[in-house]
Amino acid sequence: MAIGRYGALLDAVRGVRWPARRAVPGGAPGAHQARTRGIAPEFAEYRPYRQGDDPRRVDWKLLARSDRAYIRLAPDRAVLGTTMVVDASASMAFPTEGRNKWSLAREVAVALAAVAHASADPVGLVVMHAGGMTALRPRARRGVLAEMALTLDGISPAGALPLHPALSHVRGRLVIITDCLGDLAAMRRAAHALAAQGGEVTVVHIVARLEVDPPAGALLAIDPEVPAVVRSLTDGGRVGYSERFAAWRTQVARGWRDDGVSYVEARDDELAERVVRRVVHAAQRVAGA
Amino acid sequence: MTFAAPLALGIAAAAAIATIALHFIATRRPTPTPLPTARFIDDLRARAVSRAVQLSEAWLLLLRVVALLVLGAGFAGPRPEQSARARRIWLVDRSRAVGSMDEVRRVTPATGSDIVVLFDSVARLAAADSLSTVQRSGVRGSLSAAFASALRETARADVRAESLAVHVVSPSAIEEVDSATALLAASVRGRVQWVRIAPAIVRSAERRTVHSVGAADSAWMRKDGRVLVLWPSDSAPIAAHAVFTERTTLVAPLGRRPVGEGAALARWEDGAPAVVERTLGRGCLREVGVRTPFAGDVQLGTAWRAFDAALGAPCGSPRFEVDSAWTRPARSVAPLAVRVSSVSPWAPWLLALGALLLAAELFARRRRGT
Repeated sequence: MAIGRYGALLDAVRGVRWPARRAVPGGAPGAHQARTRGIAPEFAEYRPYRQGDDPRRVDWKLLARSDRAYIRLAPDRAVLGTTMVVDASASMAFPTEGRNKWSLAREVAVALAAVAHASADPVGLVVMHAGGMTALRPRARRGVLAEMALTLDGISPAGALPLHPALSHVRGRLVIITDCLGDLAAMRRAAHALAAQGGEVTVVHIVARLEVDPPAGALLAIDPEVPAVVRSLTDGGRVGYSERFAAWRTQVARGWRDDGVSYVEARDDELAERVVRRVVHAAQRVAGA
Repeated sequence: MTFAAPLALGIAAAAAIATIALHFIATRRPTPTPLPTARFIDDLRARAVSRAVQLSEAWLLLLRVVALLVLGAGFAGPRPEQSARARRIWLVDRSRAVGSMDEVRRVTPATGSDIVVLFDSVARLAAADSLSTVQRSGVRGSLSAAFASALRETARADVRAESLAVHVVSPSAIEEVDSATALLAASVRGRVQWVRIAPAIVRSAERRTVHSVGAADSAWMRKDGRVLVLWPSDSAPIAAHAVFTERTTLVAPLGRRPVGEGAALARWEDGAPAVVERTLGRGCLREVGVRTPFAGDVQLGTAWRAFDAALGAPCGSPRFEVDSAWTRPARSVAPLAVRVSSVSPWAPWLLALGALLLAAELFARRRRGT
């Protein structure tokens, strides 16, 4: 079974709760605080009785004392659909040997889906790769995680397909797992629109260790997505490269946050469970506040 | 060890040196490596070249150099030293066609280990030091006899063809060549080198044709090797006859007249003399018993012209025409160097090993590429 290779990772994130950053729209009962009120035993507030309300929800004791009819309300809880948008462009296949950015992206996607699914949230998947867009609609059924893992394992990163078209049809909670080396500006615009509509967007920026610290010695670097970009990296130019790359990452992080998006940078040599906990922790901080 | 083609070894060594240099040069160019963040590298340094000079892929270089050297050695044709025993056979002409025996001795640096064959009409084995005393014979030479003797001596010498050289010292006159000469020369093992010497100088004789000899003709004939040709004056019945000289045969309607005593220069078909030569003083009289018909085209043919030329030949001497097809430019004979022209016994193995190494190099290169 495809989930088998992710078994240890799913065990590591078991028990992690990923709350919504703000109250979610009402819907099926779930773990997230909803904007609607329900009839749970936990008391929240009273509301004057209106015609059409269920008479069984009238607080009869208060009616006896005050001769006014009130309805007893309780906070409602609902599910939050969560969609993983994963970048499978050619740059995600870096480094070409050993564990690469695509490996981490797959693990983070499956682990975050597992955390959301543990709260009974429907989880879905959208992957942009050389063959086009592969999408799994958000579902809460039991086999959805295995289906996601199988889909991700069957895709090899290639090509340079833009990621922003995948964001236009997504509702609810959105997690973008990318290296931000593609259509960054268009992605930001789409994500900003989602956030403005009340959506919850999280970006997991995957960075390779060899991108931060390229191998020593002369290197003739070629961009796997834009073959025309061929640059020679020497010891003399290494400092300038590091400075430019660091400045770009800072700018990218600030840009996402300015757009109302939760941003997490992850290295390809980092454990996926740590990345998941950082994502969840950021959401918990906001939800707690 | 000797090499048939040492140049091949030199070429292989040069190629090996060039290969080593290329391996050093190749390290100056970094191989393209995918890097998604290549856009953050300064574009101005796109042409920068590493200055590090170091040997790359030493094992592949070693394979290539060894393959080149082995192939070069294979093409060079190595031979063990002990098998390079050389023999020379000298075929020395002493026939009447030879102009000067002094020239023969000068161009024949035969040593005691060489085989010397003296030939005129027959070939005889002789000692190398006997060349200093040998004299020209007055008989016609035969190159076929010389080559037949060479074949016999090469079989007896028991040496390989590449170690054998046959030097033919001869003017290669036409009279020495017959229909078997070419076949016998081609059958000789080893390298045949022609050393042409000058033929005997034949002066054209002064000639007078008469039908009867008078006192004045007799006096004229006795000086300076003059030739007086006496043709028959009376008539004779014309019939089909054949007259042959040393060089030609004339078949035509001819009249036959008896001739007197003398050395036969031409004979009838039955062997009777047709032309006789009698020496008188320093000249000679040639009495012709052949009469031509008054009408006909006999005298227009080449056979008649050759017959007529034989009548005008100097007294007592044949004509020596040097055969251009059998002569080579005269050159001095250098000490014989052993040249291996055939395939070395080691060459096939070396070439096979070289091919194997090249295949291994190809396999290693493809494996490196993947």
